[in-house]
Amino acid sequence: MVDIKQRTLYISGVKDCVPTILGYISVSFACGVLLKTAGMSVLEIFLLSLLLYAGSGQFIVAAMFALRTPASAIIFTVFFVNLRHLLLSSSVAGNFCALKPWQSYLVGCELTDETFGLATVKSIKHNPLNFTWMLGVNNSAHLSWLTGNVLGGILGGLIPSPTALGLDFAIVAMFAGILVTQLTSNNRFNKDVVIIAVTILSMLLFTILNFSYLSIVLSTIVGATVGMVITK
Amino acid sequence: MTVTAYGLAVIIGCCLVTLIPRITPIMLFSKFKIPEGLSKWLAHVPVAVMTALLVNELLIADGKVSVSGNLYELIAAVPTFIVAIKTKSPIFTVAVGVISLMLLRMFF
Repeated sequence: MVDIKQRTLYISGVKDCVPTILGYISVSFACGVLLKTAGMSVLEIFLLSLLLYAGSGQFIVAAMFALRTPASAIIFTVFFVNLRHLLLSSSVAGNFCALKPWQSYLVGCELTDETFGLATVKSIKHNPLNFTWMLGVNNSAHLSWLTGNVLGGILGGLIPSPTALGLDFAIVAMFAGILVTQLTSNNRFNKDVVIIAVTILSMLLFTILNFSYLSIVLSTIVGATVGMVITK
Repeated sequence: MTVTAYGLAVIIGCCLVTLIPRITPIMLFSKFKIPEGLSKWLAHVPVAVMTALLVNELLIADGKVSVSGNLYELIAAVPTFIVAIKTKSPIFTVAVGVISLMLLRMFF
């Protein structure tokens, strides 16, 4: 029923997602362990992973859930932590063409920092992006995250130090690779360097000022604004 | 295999406050054209957000600016960036990064 071309595109998305999957499995496993320790049942961890599907958000849920913080406070905090998805979604929208509402929904609902990075890199050579490809990326990333979370919840303290293998660094390495690719293919190196410098300074400043989770959103806004101003 | 009211409230609440920012812009901009000025601004978001995320991972720990709290990651980041620049290959970059950090954690 699904034609070969669609299957090939979907699988190609999954393949491109492999570095993310590696990073996700180890981080989400650690997250699953924390959520279990915080008092969530495996079923609750599964639902959280399925419905929220957000790394930093879930770590924060784990910390606050353990303290029995009121649900409203947790939800409020997670809202601010995940506000940057507004920017990611707006930015990635420009890489697609003529998406139907259900397709937009599916692209957006599983959007993460890492899949956003993959999309921006892919869009350098393939613009507009293919929806089926993105679906492959989204689904495989989500599935690997879900698997890690649930395994972490089940196996918990049985496995010593899941971070010993350094797999969690796969995500940082990916970000580094994506940034380097953006710099080399954007063709505005000098301006990008300025954006990077301004963003770094903003992050340090906002963190020192205790803006905590909002630092990323605010620094991105400052960096992008400076980028726009100097590109005149 | 239980679900508590507390757990369910947290799960559904967090889901909604994350889902809406995720889908609203893309659903909106699939229907309506992105205004020219906004589009120009958005073009710089990828570089800015990647930088912010990297700073968050490498220079910040426990909500504070910290080099010592990220020492191994910072050291592992050096060969990672070098490989990223030289090979432009995601696989090599990730492999070098992961192995570097693993070695650092194992022996120090």
